[in-house]
Amino acid sequence: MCNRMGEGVGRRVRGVLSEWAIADAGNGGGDIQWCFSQVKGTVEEDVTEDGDSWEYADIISTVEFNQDGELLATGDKGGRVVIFKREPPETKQSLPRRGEYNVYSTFQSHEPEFDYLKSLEIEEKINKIRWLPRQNAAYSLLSTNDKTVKLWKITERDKRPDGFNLKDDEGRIKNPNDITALRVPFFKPTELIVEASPRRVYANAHTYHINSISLNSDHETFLSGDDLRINLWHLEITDRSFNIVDIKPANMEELTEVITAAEFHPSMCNVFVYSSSKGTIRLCDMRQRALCDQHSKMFEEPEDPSNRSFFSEIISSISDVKFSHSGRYLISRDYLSVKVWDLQMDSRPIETYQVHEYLRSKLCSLYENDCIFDKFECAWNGTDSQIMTGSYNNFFRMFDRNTKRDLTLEASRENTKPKCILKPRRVCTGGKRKKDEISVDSLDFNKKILHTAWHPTENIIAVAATNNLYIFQDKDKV
Amino acid sequence: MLGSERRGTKRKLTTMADDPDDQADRKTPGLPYAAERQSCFRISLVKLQAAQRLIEPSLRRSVLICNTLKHIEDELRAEGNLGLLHSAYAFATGNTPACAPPTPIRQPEPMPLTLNESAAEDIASYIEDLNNDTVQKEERRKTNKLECATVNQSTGSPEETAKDHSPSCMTLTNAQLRIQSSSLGANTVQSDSINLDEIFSDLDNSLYDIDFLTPYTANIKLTPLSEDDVSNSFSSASFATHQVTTNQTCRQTEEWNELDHIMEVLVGM
Repeated sequence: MCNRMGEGVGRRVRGVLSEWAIADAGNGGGDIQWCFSQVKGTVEEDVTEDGDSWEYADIISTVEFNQDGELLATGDKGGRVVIFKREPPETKQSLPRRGEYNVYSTFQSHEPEFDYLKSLEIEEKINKIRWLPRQNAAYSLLSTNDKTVKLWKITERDKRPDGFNLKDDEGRIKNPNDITALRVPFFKPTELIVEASPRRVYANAHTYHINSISLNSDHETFLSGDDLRINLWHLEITDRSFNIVDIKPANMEELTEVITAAEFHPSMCNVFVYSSSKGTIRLCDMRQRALCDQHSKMFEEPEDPSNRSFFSEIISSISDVKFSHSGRYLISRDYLSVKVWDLQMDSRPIETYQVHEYLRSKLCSLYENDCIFDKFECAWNGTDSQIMTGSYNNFFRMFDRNTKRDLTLEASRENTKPKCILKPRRVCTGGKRKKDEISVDSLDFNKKILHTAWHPTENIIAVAATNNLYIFQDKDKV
Repeated sequence: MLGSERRGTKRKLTTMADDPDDQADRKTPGLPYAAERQSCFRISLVKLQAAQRLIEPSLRRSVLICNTLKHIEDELRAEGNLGLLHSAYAFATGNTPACAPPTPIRQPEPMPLTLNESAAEDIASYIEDLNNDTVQKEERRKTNKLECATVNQSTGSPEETAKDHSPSCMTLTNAQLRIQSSSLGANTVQSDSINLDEIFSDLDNSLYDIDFLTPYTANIKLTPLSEDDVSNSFSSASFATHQVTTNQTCRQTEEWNELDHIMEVLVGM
């Protein structure tokens, strides 16, 4: 089967490097052993003849698996969406065992725009992608930049009509005098063409920058949230949306809090949550009233007075919030930790995992270089037993809720050898640096893992490291 | 190996210990907390100043920086360390006074003011900047200036009005702009101020003419000097206006040039 990409080959797929690891027999332990599977994107040192290397536009800004995990979508700062599809392995012995993700479709989702009223550019960067459940042969997804949400339909075409009477093979109208016989047109198989077309454009509803979109479990509506407002849309209606949350103060000078993330509950279609820059998560029920400014529940942990600093508020700002698949829990990511909340208990989280506590003493420097404002995402695994989130130096962290063990791995081209189980990394926080440890001062703060995604059912993870997409798989599973 | 070549280009963190720019720390040497606070304050001001990109800056970032600045200011005011506030503003805008505080940030006015009075006026105007709307501040300064001065002269720490009326990112930015304007010295033209008055003459400030500080000044022990000031200011309008005019002209020189920027930010918010 041959794939042809939609709208030209993006830079990201030039110089694609694809390797895989052999999944040998298991180790008997309960912990997952992660192996390198694939990496997509140009290598830094890859400079082509015309002097181009990877660019700012290639930086991946969002990663998302679809509902069955067969498709993996990425959005980048250049407004493009690249969709990878898992190909079934050709033989039982081929690697990786579960099949590879190959480029399925590439299209330009958003273009840069200019707001003439404010004399400001509107970035084309894709902030979020959310897949719609599949209802027919086509795939659908929602993608958004700062101002506009779009519904894209991705369709396959592998046949084309042929044998017309009035047109010849090139489509030119035939001279009627040359037609001597009548035939029935038929469908001729062609190579697979994947096309993406925008079906709906949900525009002009947001004054501030959209940071979240979330599809409702009713599969008919979705929400889009910006810094101060959350709007509810119907998928079919583009010229109207309902405002369900508005925290804009009457006097903008009194603004002290913004919305940072919002998500619908996975099964209760009337419930959604939104997080704020002050470290609170509010759960709202749309049945209570039309405007959900009053929350039903507020999840907030009281501040630890011993850890107070000037940056307490900034590091408490929640950058991502995700419901568990069961809908019973949710995780929130602030600058230094991931917290697990039980929806039944809003007084404090039931679990807290430190992502990179060693940065607490460096907050002033991180404030200076703006790293303290980085928005890290977090992800659940399919069974809600594990949590993953990113860090600096291309490190990402996995937390097992049952064993309470944590793991630090690195997304790096060094680990792309076959049979390569990822070696756990350790950061030395003080004192003597052991071998294989890396000291805090040597961490590269330009290499940040902000976007990660976990396959909905299997132990396959996608990790975006600047302009590269890494795919890792569990060693044991077949 | 691929990675080892790249390792040499890794960025290193600059820690607080390496920070050589602690000139503002003169008053409290050796206190890491205060030094960190000053540094943080300075950095915050610079960050707010630098938000002049073509792409709209992140609202979340601006709000977080403003809140951080507000926390630090509240702390400084509660401690009575307004001199540090002063020097931090000055340092952030590159106008470090050569001598130790308390020295007025503004260039010396023609009036023979004592050091105390001029400092009080400067402090007053800074507090006003933080509490007032940008457009109305020229007018309000006349009424609230000296009241603010009394607050700062007191020994007790007044409740912070900032807690009631949060200073916005806007007004903080304006405070910086005012400092920039003042640094250019007293090359003022009387006609400038007159023009500005004409321009703002149609603004109705009655709604905004709220005295934030009177509830708090009532209980404050006033120093004799400041009491005199207050009584003099209320009785002799000429004294007040003369001072105000002089200060006004000092500050407004560059402010008029920055007015477009202010309006842009206002509209942008």
